[in-house]
Amino acid sequence: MKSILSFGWRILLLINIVIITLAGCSENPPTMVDGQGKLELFVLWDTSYVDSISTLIPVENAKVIVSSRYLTKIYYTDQNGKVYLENLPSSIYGVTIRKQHPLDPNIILVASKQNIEVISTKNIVIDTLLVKPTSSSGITINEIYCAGPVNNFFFFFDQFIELYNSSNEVKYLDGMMVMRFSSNTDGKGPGADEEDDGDIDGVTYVFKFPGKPGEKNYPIYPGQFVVLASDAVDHTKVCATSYDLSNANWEFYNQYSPEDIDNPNVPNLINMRPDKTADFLIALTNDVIVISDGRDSIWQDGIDISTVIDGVEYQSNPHPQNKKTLDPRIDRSYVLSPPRYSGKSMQRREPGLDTNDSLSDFEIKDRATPGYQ
Amino acid sequence: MKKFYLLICILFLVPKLSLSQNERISSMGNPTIALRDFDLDLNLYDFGKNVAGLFEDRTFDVLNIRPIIKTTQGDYKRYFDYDKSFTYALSFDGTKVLKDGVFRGYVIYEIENRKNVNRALNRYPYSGIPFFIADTTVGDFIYSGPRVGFQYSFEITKSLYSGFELNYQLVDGLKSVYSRAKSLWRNIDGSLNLAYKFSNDFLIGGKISFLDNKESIEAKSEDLFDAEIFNYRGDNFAFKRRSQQIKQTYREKSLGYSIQSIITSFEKLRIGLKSEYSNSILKTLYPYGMLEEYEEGHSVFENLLISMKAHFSPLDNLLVGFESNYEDYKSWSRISELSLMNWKWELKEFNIGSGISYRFNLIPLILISEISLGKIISDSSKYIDNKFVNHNKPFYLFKTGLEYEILNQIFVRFGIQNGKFGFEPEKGGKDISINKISLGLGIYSFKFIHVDYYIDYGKIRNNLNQVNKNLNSQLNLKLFSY
Repeated sequence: MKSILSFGWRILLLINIVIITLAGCSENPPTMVDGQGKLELFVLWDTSYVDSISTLIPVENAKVIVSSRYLTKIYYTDQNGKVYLENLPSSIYGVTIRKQHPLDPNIILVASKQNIEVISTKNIVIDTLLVKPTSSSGITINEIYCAGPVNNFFFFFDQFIELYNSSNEVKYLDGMMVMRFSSNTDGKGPGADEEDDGDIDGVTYVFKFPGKPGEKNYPIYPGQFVVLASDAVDHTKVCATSYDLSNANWEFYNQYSPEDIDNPNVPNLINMRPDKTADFLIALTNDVIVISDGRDSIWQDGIDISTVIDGVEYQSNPHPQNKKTLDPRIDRSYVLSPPRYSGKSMQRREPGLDTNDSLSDFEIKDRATPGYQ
Repeated sequence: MKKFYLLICILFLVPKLSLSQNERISSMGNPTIALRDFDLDLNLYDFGKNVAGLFEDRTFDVLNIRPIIKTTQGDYKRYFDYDKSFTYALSFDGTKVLKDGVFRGYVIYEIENRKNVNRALNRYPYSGIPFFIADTTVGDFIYSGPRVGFQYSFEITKSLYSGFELNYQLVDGLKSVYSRAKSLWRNIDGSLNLAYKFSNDFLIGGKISFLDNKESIEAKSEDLFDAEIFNYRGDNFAFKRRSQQIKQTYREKSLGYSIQSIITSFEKLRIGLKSEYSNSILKTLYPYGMLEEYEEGHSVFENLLISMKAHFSPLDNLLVGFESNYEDYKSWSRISELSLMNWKWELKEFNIGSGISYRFNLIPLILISEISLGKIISDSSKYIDNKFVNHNKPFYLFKTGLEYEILNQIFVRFGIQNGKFGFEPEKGGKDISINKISLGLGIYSFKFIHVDYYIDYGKIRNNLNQVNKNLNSQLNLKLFSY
């Protein structure tokens, strides 16, 4: 009996040693940890814009909008123009700086930088951003409403694009083109400069204002909002959660369509592509919208970037889930669009303020605001 | 967001076989150290969870039919938890002694209705991994599905026993409001077991167990809205995904080893020893392209358990019990695309316990009392949130109960539990007090059918005076000839 017990104890001991040894055979954890990213930004202003002597002075209390796939957060610079962020998760960050000009309320000091790679394990990322005064840039796309209202019968015909004249002078819409880019999917994508020849490709819809570039028949005054409606009618009669666009400034009208609605009281943008017989409707959650001055109207070979006035790309998911395609000379990032059939719209944070960084320039509004901010 | 501390839960414990509780034990305050009971014997099957021991443990046919109701509600909860939960289950658990072996099989159908689940779409959002998904709404979830399994044990040669088990569970979940998420939770686990009886005084067993668990979640708005979900990588950081249909999958595979031995040192003293080790890998995946799945997160769990239990019976109607356990759970998780660790935690628990049960000679009464003392040491480093939490707190748990035969073969039972935990790892609460009262009835007057019933009511209160209340009730019809 004793020998059996003694033998058993030995076996037991041996097996326990095996078990405890196995406990050390697990996969090894990574040696590097997340959440340790550091970013230090200095925001400076070159005062040669207001003084003949070039002096870089720190910009105090500037708004710093930091965006990544995880978050968009707002910070403010200290008295040395510095903002120091730590414990950041590893990601690609974009930063936009905004600060009201100390003397001129119509001027905003702006700087932005995209694709700042903050990796937790690497050293602190230090960068300096020089703000530049921005104002009166001219005509911009101020609001895009494409999601459709809250409904359950696939109604989205109340789409509109809102333009804004942020300059101090009267601008003219004559001959300007409004385009949707959604083809060229086999190449670099809609709105990309396919052969690096200075134009953007993938136009699917082109509508234009009457007249020719340079003519002065259709003014847009400083601080004026202009609403371009797909159909300038009161959509609330069809869908109660929709919008009344019967007072829109312009209406997209496809003269090649036998069915397109035309409000006779609202002037039309007309279709330049006879092969397209549908109304100017844009995708609900991802698309590229561009306006150009109309000097390059040969859309087949792409639209010359030098004629582009403004362009905005919007996507439903952040990078890398969705690929950015619009040429970065027009828009360096894209707006994260609201959900379809939500009634929400994308609008610039400040009217007409365009830093070519849509992710920071635009915000999502719960209700569209056609004709006002 | 409500701050929560250490987010360790029981996901990788949950899928393992947990048959319905024994009503007699539950109604007497759930003693486990010193009660003489059919399900608490110090043998390879009851103590060691070794299926090879089924052959010697079960010597008669029985079918247990159990309707079960469980409810829990209260404000001691975490941010993504539900307000209330109601569980209804019906279980059939039968044992059949065959010519060459013993077979045990069971079928359970469970329906769980969780009320006001706050945003979480995972069945267990606090599963010890930082990767979980949430939408924006508070809504009800209904989970339902069957659980089936069997165990079979037989004697290979003289004194050498083998046993194996296989369990399968399928649970469908559905959220009542946007994003109308559907969840499909599937679990397969099993084990291969061997046992050798050197003598009646010394038995040794070994077990290799496996587990394959998969939870697939699909958020698909039934109206025209896009579904928008947040992929969390910690408490604070999440990225959005939006589409008409969004899928996410959690896949866990685990392998475990265990040895057990039962030793009778001398006539009155019986000792059980057990050590277990398991290792599992849980991958968080979402579809990428048409066929591929993108690994968002990778989590590794390790669990080591060393346990000892002893029964000393100096008199026929007296049983003194002693137990000691050491458990070490640890886990780490990484974000796969960058191979950066975003959470690492370790939870150690050590406890010793002792108890005594006495069956009176003059009156048909059994009394039982037990106490466990221990310590919980936890260490959590949630790097992505820059949150580092340590706890090193003691606990005690006291149980006492009785069984009284009021009429011939009719028993009433009563039990209470009282405990205090300096730190409770599941919900992260501090200074937790636990109080539970239970009542039961056993009617064994008939030859072929026995009836057991228990009901218990418990309260768990933390230092913020948040309270959770539990009410459980279970009936068991035992059929001995079927």
